[in-house]
Amino acid sequence: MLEGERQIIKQAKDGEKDAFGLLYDHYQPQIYRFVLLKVGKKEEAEDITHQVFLAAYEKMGGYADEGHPFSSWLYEIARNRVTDHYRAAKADFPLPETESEIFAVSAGLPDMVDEHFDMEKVRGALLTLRPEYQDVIIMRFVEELSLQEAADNLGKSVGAVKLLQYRAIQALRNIIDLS
Amino acid sequence: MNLLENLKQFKNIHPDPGFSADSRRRVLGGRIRMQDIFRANVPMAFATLALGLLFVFAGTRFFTGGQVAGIDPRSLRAEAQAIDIQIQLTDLKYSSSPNGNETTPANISGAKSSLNVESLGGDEIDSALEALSD
Repeated sequence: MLEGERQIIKQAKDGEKDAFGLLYDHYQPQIYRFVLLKVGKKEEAEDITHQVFLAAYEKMGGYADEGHPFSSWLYEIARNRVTDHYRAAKADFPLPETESEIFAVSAGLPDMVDEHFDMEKVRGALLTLRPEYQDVIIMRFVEELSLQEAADNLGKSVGAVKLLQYRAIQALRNIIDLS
Repeated sequence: MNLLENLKQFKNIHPDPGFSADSRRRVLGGRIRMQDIFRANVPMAFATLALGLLFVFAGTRFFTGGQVAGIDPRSLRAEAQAIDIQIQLTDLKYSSSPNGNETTPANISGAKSSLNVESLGGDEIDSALEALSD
């Protein structure tokens, strides 16, 4: 959560561009990762991420702070955009081709070929998971959100998130083992 | 393979800085939000409304003070009455022949009585009756 977020949100709601710019800077990378890991292609992830923030900016005046983190609103927009993306493409969640450039921009990634190969396998397996399994894995194990934060973002109870993440990891392991 | 460690590594993925800068600029400056339009243009909207009302008021004054007021009410009334009469006459015309071209026995007998039947031949009577019915 961004420091002084409530005040920043209020200012953004009042039309202050700089305030929304702060929200953009803070949340854009994680929304981008979320989208990228769900669609698999850099260009599509960029396009969808842009649409998410454009929609958020346009709807900011009507944003109601109902006690949930601001990110949950962005994640919700992002989920809807990803769904629209697949619906428009009439694709049934295919496994996109691996784009090595995704990792080329990743600072700090080990250069070891084996590890890179593992990453590709995990990423490919993640793309084949059900959307809600993808969501919980990205939030809990990529973004390392707390159970409560993930529950808020997913609109579920903490208990439901625990169960969901367990099943999601099991499903991911099964896919990787099979491949 | 340590799955959870691999998943953590995905957090090192960052959007291209060029894309981020361009997207940010386009989001914040590309489109104007409805609320911004409303907020920015409230004074303009009031000014336009006031100007519009001024034009309407001035236009009304112009017409009532000039052309319309110059018309004689008597001639207007006479014209209106003439229209009413025309309507009444038209109604009367329709009322006089409500059944269109129908010829009733009463009409025929009435027509016969108004004609000098003695001096007319059978064909002439028929043609006269046809003309009447028309």
